[in-house]
Amino acid sequence: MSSGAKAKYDDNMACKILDDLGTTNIAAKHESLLEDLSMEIIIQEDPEYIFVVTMGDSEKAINALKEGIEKDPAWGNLSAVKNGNYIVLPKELFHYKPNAKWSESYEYMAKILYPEIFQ
Amino acid sequence: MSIWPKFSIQKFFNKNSGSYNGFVIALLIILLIIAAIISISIGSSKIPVGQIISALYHRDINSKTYQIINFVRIPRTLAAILAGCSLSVSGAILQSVLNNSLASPNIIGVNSGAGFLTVLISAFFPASLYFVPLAAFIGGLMAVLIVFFIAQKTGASRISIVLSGVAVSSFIGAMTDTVLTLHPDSAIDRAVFLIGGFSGVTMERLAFPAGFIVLALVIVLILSYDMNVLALGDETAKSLGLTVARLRFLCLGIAALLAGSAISFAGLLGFVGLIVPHASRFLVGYDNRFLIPVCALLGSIFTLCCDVLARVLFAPFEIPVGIIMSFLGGPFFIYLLLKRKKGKLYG
Repeated sequence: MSSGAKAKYDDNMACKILDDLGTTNIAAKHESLLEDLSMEIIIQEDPEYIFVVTMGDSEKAINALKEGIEKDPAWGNLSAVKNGNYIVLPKELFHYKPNAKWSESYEYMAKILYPEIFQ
Repeated sequence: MSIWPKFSIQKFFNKNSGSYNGFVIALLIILLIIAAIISISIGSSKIPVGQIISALYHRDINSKTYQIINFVRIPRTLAAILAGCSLSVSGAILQSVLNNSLASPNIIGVNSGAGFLTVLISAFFPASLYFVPLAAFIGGLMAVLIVFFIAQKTGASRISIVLSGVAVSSFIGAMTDTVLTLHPDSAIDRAVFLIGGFSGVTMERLAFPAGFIVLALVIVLILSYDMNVLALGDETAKSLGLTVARLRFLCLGIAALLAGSAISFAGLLGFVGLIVPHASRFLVGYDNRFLIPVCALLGSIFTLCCDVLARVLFAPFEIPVGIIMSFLGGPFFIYLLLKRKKGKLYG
């Protein structure tokens, strides 16, 4: 039973923003209509950052998700998780259309990816 | 006309003799070992066999090969073996004890009961995933008992057991759907849970259900002779000194424990619990002392092979194993039915 994680592509808003900011999405390397990316590939590619957009926003669900990821030996050994680059994105900026707050969405993401620019 | 005499293993061993059954079990054990080796060597990432062996030998936690083998492929292989054997044996018990060839964990309501409590726990108590196998067992047992008592009230005919199973399943299924709809962010992937699959299993999550499954299998093997007596009919079994009601209750409980444990980590895998017992009976007949081990082995092999396909067909993406199972299992079951109609099945 999967933890419910789906790999997303450019048709997803957060992925589009990440794309614009010059990142490479490991899921987009393998074109497919499916969204259940094999754990084996995630381990092999060992991404620098993992961004998560949750469907719900209850703190309990997010905590359970984070705890599950950190405890899971397959996820827990990824560099992104070890280095704390496993990031749950705020829903209002990356799941709903941000409308007037597009700049905020980009800024939020850029601060994570390129902290040196904002210093 | 062929000059070769028609060779039949069954005739060679004199079908249903101990040596024939022993031969079938030995063959299945070898097949299971081969399937397990294939399952560990093949996956969505291509790793040469030599590299796998050296990774297992060196056990270097930082090696990606070791991580893939140890944290992804081995847990998945074990999960497929455990789920396949427990659901198949659960189906065999239900069919034997309810004296109904249509009985299986998903039709009698065990799956839906276990699934409902699994979803409920994951949605409202995401931190307590350890209780899931226990809750799944309780849910499965309650569902099967409700079905059994409804069927008894209405005369316990073969049809009424199946019909009340369908009714109870669909009612509990609606409750499961309600929870999944109201709690889309629960720790469960709706589609994968409803179809059944093994992505994301870890050794940690398998430990509890594995203990339950091994315990239940041992008890079933001890009870298998009594189950044979029960299959002769309630009156005969009573006259032979069997406490019919107690044995039937115990067997239903074990069937629920087996199916519930599997569902707690694999989701609602349905079909395997129906077809594997039939295929096993085709091989070794009705004697539960042989049927149960054959069922366990055949169920594991079938599930393992389906899971390899689920991982490899669309690599590096995966599809839930339940899809493959139904694609392969459906036509095979129709084949068995047609054979039975001709009066060839079961010797």
